Amino acid sequence: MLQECARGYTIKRKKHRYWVTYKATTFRGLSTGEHGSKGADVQIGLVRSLIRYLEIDLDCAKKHLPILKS
Amino acid sequence: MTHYPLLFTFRDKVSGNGFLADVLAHGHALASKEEPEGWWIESVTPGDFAAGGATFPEAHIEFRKAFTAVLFDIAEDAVDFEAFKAEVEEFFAGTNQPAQDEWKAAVALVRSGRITAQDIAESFPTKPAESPPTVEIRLLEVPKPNYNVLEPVMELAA
Repeated sequence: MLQECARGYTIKRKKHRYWVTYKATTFRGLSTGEHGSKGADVQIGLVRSLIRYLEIDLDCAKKHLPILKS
Repeated sequence: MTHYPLLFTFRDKVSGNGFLADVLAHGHALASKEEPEGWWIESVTPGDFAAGGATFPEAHIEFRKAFTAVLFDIAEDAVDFEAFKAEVEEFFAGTNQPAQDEWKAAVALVRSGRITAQDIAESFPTKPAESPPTVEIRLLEVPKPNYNVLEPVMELAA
C-alpha cells in the first residue's frame, strides 16, 4: 500500500515501533507486533491512523487494503 | 460510531545516552467506541500513535504504553539531552488534522449534553477543552522527591 499510495516514503524499525516518514511527516506509532499489539484489529486501526496522519490518499489505500472499506 | 474528546497528562522518566529526562505531556486524544471490536484511542496532538482494546481501560493502558514507547525510541537515537529534547518537541508539534476536526466536533456534542463522561466510566472526570497541548522536557541533574507526581487519569474535554 505504501509503495503505491505514499511514493517516496521511508520506514525505519526502532526498538519499540516502526517510524514511517512521508512528505517530511513521521508517524512514530506503528507497532512492531512484539509489544502490546494483539491482533489484526489493532494493526488495521494503526494503519487507519497512519493514513490519516500522513494524509495518504484513502481511495488508493482502499484499493490495496480492502479491509479499510469496512 | 461515537467519538469522545479526551485530554491526557502523561509523565515519564526517560533514560537516555548519558542523561535522565522528565517528560510532562498534556495532549489531546480521540476515543471511539466501535461495536463489536471495542475501544480505539487515537492521538490528536501529538498526532502519530494510537491503541485499542476490548474495554476503555484496556485501550487506555495500551495507549499509555504506546506513548512511552515513542519516547523510548527517541531516547535510543538521541546522542544527548538536547537532541532528545528537540526530537520530543518535534514529535509533539505534530497534529492529526482529521482527528482534530472530529475532536472539535465531539467537544460540541459534550457541550450539548449528547455525550457525557459517564458514557466512558462512572465518575470519569472532565476538564475545559481549551486546555492546550503542551510538553515540558527537563534534564534531571539532581533528582528530588518533589519530581514525584502521581499521574492524573484521562479527562473528557468539555
